[in-house]
Amino acid sequence: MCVVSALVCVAFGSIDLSAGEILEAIRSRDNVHWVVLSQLRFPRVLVAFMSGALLAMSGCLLQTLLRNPLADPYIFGISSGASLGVLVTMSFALGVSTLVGGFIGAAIVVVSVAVLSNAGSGWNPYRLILTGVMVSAGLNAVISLILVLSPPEMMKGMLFWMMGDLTYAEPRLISVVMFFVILIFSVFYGRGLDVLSLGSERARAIGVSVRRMEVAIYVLAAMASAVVVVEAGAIGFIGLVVPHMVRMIGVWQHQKLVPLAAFVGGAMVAIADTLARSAWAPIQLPVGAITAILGVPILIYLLNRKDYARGR
Amino acid sequence: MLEVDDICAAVGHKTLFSHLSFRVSEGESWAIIGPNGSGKSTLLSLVSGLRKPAEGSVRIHDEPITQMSQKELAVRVGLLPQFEELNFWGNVSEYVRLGRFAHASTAWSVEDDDVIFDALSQVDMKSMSHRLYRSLSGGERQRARLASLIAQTPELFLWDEPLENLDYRAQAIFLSWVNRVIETKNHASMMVVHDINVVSHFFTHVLMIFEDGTVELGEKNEMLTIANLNRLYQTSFRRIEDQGRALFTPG
Repeated sequence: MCVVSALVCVAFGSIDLSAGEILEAIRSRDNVHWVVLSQLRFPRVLVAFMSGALLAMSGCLLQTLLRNPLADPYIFGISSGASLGVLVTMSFALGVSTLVGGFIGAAIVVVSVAVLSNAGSGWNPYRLILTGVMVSAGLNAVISLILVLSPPEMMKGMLFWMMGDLTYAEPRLISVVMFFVILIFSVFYGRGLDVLSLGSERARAIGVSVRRMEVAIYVLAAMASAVVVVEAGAIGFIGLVVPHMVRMIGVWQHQKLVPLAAFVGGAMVAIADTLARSAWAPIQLPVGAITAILGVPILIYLLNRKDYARGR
Repeated sequence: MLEVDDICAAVGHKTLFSHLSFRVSEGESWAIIGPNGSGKSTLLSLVSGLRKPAEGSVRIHDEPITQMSQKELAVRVGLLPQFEELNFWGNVSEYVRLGRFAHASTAWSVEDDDVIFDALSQVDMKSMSHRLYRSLSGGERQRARLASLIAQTPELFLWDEPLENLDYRAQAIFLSWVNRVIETKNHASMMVVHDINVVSHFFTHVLMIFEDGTVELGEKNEMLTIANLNRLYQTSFRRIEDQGRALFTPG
């Protein structure tokens, strides 16, 4: 499936290539098609795949950490933090790249949600979710204010970025590293993650070092989401829907769930991005809008499946 | 096997019990009884290491439980809490397998399928092993939970109201299994229960936590007296002899 989707994604674009032309270009490495492939298509498909994979893995981990089927990589307000960071660097022309601004914004949110939800009587999943939702609501209000007050041409760029956009994204080492770190973590500690879904008290009684595992999940999931959101904006619904799609086909053990979700999520974003850049060509659509349009009906369908939502 | 010395417990400003000490030996089956909110579950979470006592110590075979890792502890002491979250997507035997974590925690550890199969048959659920856990009824789910602690194979079993939702047959099967495993394997068990007649039939020792925070404990026959029960539940009890067995009924 991945190979097919990769081929499809590489083939379509402002110059459509046939499978034969792609193979020919790869063999000769010396024609216009090869330049298109190696300079434009391969990096774009790779970054799309990595973004989708990281979001889906982060979604799996967070749904387990928070014991909440509606958790997704943006639940802590990471995307709002990154948006605000990007917005501030853009509108005040701070002279640093928007990537740096976005990353600082995301990092501040990750740290402050962790600190706020740990203050006083200690954290629990509900407190963590509510703190994240509150922080993100507050940040979104500030973002709206800045957007309203900013010049119109900047507003469009910002909106694009906030919906998730891979136009200027480049593949980076950090996303590949995160991808493998989370993959190894989930395979190695998969059984502990399975037990954790019964709740922290029960998991400790069964022998899991819950505290350590929860910190690891929070850090990994937050980093993965931050890497994606800074590079590609808030690509929605992948982190929420893909874990459910994979569980629906009967795979729930984290050792298999997380790797499979990574590939499904990666393939979905790669295909959505191909649609985004070729459906309305030469205008490029934000990939986040496409994933949401694909994701909403899938999630509603899943929620209507009696055997999945409530048990047989 | 279990030595509890001088532990105290409080919830908020209310002291549940203080300076409690007792010993549980191999082969003993303890019932923990008391009114709602008296600290029965708190006592179990202290013994299982889920809570750290503000004072005092809990030791298993002379080793303080605070010095064991979560996994080492789970091999020796197994607790089935009253509640857990329903966030599990697998079938019944996969659910029971979660209880084996302390014995097989890494990706490549070999699983002992016999232990899981045996645990399932002890709660009469062999035929349901492929049903989705979420699709079970309340009583069936409770039996699967019992099986997961049976599969954990600890030396000291701690059960928090395990009879909840079980029918009479399932209760009898379960309680006889507990007594059999304690006797044959030299294990021990402590269980929070509410049915005095079950206590009088299946247990060797009783620990009573009173509303005022005092704790009385000892052998079953010394403990199950009308005076103790009246004081414990602030209700008057009657004692009925039936074929050499004491039965208790309120009112």
